[in-house]
Amino acid sequence: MTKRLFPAVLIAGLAGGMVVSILQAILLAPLMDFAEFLEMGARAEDYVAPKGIFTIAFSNLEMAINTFAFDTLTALAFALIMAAGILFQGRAINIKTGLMWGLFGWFAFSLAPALGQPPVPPGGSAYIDLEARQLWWWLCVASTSIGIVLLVFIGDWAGECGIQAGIRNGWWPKVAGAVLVLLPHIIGAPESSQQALNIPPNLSRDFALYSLISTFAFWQTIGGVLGFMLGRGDKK
Amino acid sequence: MTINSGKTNNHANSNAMAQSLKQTNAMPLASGASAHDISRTNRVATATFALALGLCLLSVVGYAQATHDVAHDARHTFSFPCH
Repeated sequence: MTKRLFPAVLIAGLAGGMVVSILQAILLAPLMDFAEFLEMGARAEDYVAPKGIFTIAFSNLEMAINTFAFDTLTALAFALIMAAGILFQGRAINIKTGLMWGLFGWFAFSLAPALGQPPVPPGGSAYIDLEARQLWWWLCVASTSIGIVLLVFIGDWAGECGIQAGIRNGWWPKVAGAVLVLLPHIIGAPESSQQALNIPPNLSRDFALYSLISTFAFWQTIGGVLGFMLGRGDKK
Repeated sequence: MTINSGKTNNHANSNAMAQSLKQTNAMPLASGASAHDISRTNRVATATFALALGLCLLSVVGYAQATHDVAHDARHTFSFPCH
């Protein structure tokens, strides 16, 4: 499995980058364009939406290329992290288990942070406590991931670390896992200043929803591709 | 796994390992199975490297101030706190 890891990560990253870029161009780019129009202090009634689904995404070619490049780099980063998790676990994998990994990845890196800090369009939270909000994001992602390991994978990893069956099958890993998943939300995310800015609530709501849909498709893509690519040789 | 004697054996080993895992829901590494130990070291080392590389890349694309302008729309899509 280790030999196939990096080619698999590369293909998963490219596929994930492509999927999220297409969804972003269709679902999110029009909302970002509208939000940036409002951010300049203009009135919502004056906004004229361009026709055609890819018009906004490709209105600035340089930005479109940058966005695709950074979507793909983000996809590569997440594919590396997921592949590391699969490898640490050390079990045989296939598309089906890959999609499960995709679900855990989406939960830990997209849904859980979004519960505290909903995805916002530009202008939604301007430069207030940025460092605190970034710190909370990392805390949330780390705590949720370790929580999932304790809740779901403890049987695999505790065995490898030589922890006795009596401990790993007991109640405490499950309780500790649940506490870690809940902890970032008990602490609470830092306040952002969305209301203070000129963003209508339905625009914020649509943006958060479309962002979560896009990242769900993205995580399923990298999970499915990694599951297929890493599991391929095991069947022979 | 590459240190093992042959490719087919590798797959047979990993399949056998997966089977025994399914049956016992644990990691019954036999103390005498040195090939397993070597493949496990290799696996854990590769996983650690992949994790470190992934986290570094994530910091640069998601959080470095230097890449803010070019990564802007991607950051909003993935809902990294951006500004």
